[in-house]
Amino acid sequence: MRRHHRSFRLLAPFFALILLLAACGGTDEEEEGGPTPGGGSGESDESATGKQEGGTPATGEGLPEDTLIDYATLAAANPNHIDPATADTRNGSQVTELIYDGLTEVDSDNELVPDVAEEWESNEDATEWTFTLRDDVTFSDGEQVTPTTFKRSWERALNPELASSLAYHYLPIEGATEFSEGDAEEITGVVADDEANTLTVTLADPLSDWPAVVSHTVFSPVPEEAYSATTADEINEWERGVMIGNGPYAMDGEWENNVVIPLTENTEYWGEAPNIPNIDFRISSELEAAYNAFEGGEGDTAYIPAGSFADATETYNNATDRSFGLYYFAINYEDEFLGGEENLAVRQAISMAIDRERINEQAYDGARESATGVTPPGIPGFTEDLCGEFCTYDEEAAADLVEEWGKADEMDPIELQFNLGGDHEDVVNIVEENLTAIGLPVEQVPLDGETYFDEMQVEGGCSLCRAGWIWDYPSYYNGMYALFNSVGIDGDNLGRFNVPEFDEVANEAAATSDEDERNELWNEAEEILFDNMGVIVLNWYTNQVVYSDRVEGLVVNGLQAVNYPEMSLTEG
Amino acid sequence: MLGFTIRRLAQAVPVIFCAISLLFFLFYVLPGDPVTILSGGTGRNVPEVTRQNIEQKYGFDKSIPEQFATYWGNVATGDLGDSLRDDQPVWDKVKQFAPNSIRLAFWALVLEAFFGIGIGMVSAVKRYSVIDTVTTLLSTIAMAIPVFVSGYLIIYVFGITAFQRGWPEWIRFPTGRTPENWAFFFFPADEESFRRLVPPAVALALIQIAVVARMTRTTMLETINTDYVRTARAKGLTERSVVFKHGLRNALIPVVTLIGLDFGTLIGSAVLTETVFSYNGLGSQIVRAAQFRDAPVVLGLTLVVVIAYLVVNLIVDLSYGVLDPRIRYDD
Repeated sequence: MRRHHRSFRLLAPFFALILLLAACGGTDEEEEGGPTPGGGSGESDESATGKQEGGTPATGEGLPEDTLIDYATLAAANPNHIDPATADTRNGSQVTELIYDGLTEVDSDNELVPDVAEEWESNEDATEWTFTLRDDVTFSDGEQVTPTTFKRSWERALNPELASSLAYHYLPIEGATEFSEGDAEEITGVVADDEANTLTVTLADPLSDWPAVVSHTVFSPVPEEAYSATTADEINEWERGVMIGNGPYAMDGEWENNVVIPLTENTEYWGEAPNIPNIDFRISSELEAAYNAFEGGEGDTAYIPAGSFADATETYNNATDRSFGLYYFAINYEDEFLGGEENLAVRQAISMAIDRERINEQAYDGARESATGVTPPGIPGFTEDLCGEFCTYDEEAAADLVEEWGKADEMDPIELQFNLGGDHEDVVNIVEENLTAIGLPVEQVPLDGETYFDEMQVEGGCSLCRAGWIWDYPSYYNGMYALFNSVGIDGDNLGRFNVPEFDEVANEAAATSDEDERNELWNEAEEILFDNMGVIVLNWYTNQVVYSDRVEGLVVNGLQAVNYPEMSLTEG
Repeated sequence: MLGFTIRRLAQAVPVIFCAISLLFFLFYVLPGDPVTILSGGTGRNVPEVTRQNIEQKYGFDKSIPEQFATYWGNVATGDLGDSLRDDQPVWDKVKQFAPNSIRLAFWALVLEAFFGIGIGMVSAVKRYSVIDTVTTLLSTIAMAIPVFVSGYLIIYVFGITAFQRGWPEWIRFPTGRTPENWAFFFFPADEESFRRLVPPAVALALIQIAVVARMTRTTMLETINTDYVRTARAKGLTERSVVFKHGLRNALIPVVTLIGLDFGTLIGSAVLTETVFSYNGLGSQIVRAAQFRDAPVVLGLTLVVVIAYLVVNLIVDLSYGVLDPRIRYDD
C-alpha cells in the first residue's frame, strides 16, 4: 500500500466552508432582530388570546415552581452584549432592562412612565430638560443612584474608546459630538446637581420627545465599579461576571455563553418586587430549536418562527398584537416618472394597486397587519386611516389613475428593488403582479443585503425600494422625522421626499412641548406626506410570543419588551 | 517513523498558513463591510464619528497587507484576537466549543463504526439474503436523506410529539440544548445529558453509518473471495474464525481509513447537525460568526478545525502500520 498525497483532502473542509460562507451572506436588519435596538408593537385590543385546543396537553408542566424558563428572548442567538452601553440588539437589551432602571420607561401599555426620575420638565422650546430623581434608588450593593451616577454612566457609554454602536442616541445632547470625538473632557450639555437631585440636559436642537429617548437602556445608570470598564475588553469582562444593577432583577450567577443568563429577584429593589422570583433566559442559536424546546414542554415562553404563525396561535397562548415596525416601499420623489407633483397619480395608483391582505396571507402566514398609515397604533398620537382610500386595494381605480396619468408607455420599467436574504421575494412577486395588472411595467432588482441600504441612500439609488423601520421609542418623531424630513436625504429618507410644507410642520412638532398640540401637528405632517403620496406603506409588524399555561399576565409592548416583572406563575 | 511524523508535521505548516490566509482574503472579496455591521447594522444612518471610532478600534483603517501581517503576528504568538461581535477572546470560544464538537464527533464515530461495520459485515456474509436486501435499501435511503431533514424528523418525533402525546419516558429525547455534564470528558454524566446527546449524534452518524456499511460490505465480499480465505475454509477452520480473523481484519483497512478521516470531517462539518439541534459546537459557531462578518472568530475556529483534521489524518496514517505490518515508515 502506498501513501498518497492528501493535500486535496485537506482542503476539502475549506471548499465546504467557502460554499457555506457564500450561502450565508446577508442578514436582514429587521428580520434578524439584529443590531437594531428598537422593537415594535402596539396597543393591545386583541392581544393575548389564550387558546387551548383539545388534545394538546398542558404546557409548562413539571417545570421548576419558582423559575420562569424563558425561550423567547434569547431564542435566536447568544446576545452580543448586555451591558447598557453596548447592548445594541433587542434580545440583549431585554435582559439589560430587567437589571437596570433608567430615568423613564415604557410600560406594557406603551405609556411613558417615570422610573428613577420622579418627574421632568422642559423649557418652552424643548431644548432644556430637567429630570428630578427619586432619592431612594440604590444599586443592589447599596450604592446610591444620584444625578452624577447618570452623568458618569452616560460619559462611559459615549466614550470614544468604546465606540459603541449606540452612541448616536446621545448625539442630540449639546457637546455630545465633541465628547465622542475625544475633544472634550465631559458632555457639556449634561449638568448633575446632587444637592437638588436633578439632572439637567441641554439639547442642540428642540426635541419634545426627549423623555421617551432616555427610556432606552443605553441611558441606564451603572455602578461605580463599572466606570473603570470603558474599553470593549473591560466591558466584556464586566458583563460576563455578575453585573450589579438597580433594576427589579439581579444576575444570579455568570452569563454562561450560549447556555443561559440566570436572573433572580433583586432583594434590595426600591420598587415593587417582581412576582416571579427567578428567570432563566435560555440561549439558543436557532429560533426553530428554541420553539421545539417549548413545544416539547421544556420552557414557558418562545418566539414563533417563520411559517408557524397560524399553527402556533391556534395551539398555544400567545401575545401577538402589533409592534412598532413598518414594512414599506420608498418611492423616489426626484424620479422623472415617479416623483414630484406631476406624478402624484401614479404614486397613488401604485399604493392602491397593492393587495396588502394577500401579501399578509401568502408571505407572512397572516402574522402582519395591513398598514393604513406610517405610524402604527399604540404610538401616542396615532390616528387611524391617515392614508385613506389610497391604502385600500382597488385594482380598477388604480388602473384608471394610471390611464389618467398617461405616461406608462414612455417609461422604462419601474425598478422594484429589494435586499436578498430577508425573505422578501414573496412580497415582491405579489407587488410585481399587482402593478403589472394596472398596466405599469415593472422589473425586479434583487440586491445584496449588506450594502443595500447604502446603495438606496445615494442620489438616484432608490426607485421603488423595499425598506423597514423599527421604532426605538414610542414616539411619533422617531418614525416620521428621519424618514421623510429633507434633512434625512442621503440618510434614512430613501425616497428623498422633499416637501417644504412637511418639513415646516415636522420641525414645529419636534419643538412643541404640549403633547396634544404636538400630536396634532404630527398628524398634520403625516397627512401632508400622504397627500403627496411620499411613501408606499405595506404592513405593521406584530409580536410573536407564545407561552405556557402556567404563565399569567404576559404582555409584550410595542417595543417588543415582555413585562417580566409583572407576570406570574400559577400552580399546575 | 519519527522522521515520517516530523516530515508530516512540517508539511502541515504551509497547509495551515494557506488555508487561513485564503479565508482572510475571502473576507475582503465578499461584499459587505464589518464596520457597517458593528455600527448598528445596515439601514441605519451611522454618524461619521461612530464609524471612525469603530474603524480605529478594530484596525480597519489600516491597509489590508498591514492587517494581514498583524493578524499572523498575533496568531504566531498564540493570540487569536477578539470577536468583533461580542468582544470575547476567540480562545475562550475555542475552549468552550471545541470540546462539544469533539464529543459529538466521537459519539457519531462510535455509532458509525459499530453499526456501519456490523451491518456491512452481516450483509456481506449473508449476501443476497433478505437481510442484505433490506439493509442495502435502508442504507441507500439513509444516504439520500440530508441531515436537515432527518434531524428535524428526529426532533419532531422524539423531541416534540413524544412529549405532547405523553409517550413513555424512555422514548422522549429533549432537544434544543447542548448536554452540559460530562464525566471523563467523553461520557455523559447524567441521564439528561445522555438524552440530549443521542439525537444529534444519531443524526450526524446516520449517513456515515450507511457509507461505512456499504464499504464494509464491498471490501468484505472481496476478501471473502480471496485465495487465503478459501484456504482458511479448506483448512477446516470454523466459519466464525474465517469471517472475523481472516476476512474482517483484512477488509477493515480501507474502512478504518474512511472512519479515521471522518473524525476530522465530523468535527468541522457537523455544521448542519449542530445548527438543527442548536448544539454549541465549532460548526454552528463558525456559521453564526460568518453571518456577522466576525472574521477573527471564523478564522480562529477554522484554524482549530484544520489542526484537528491534520492531526487525525496523521494518526490514521500511522495506524496503518498497526493494522498491516507490511506497511513501514522508512526515514
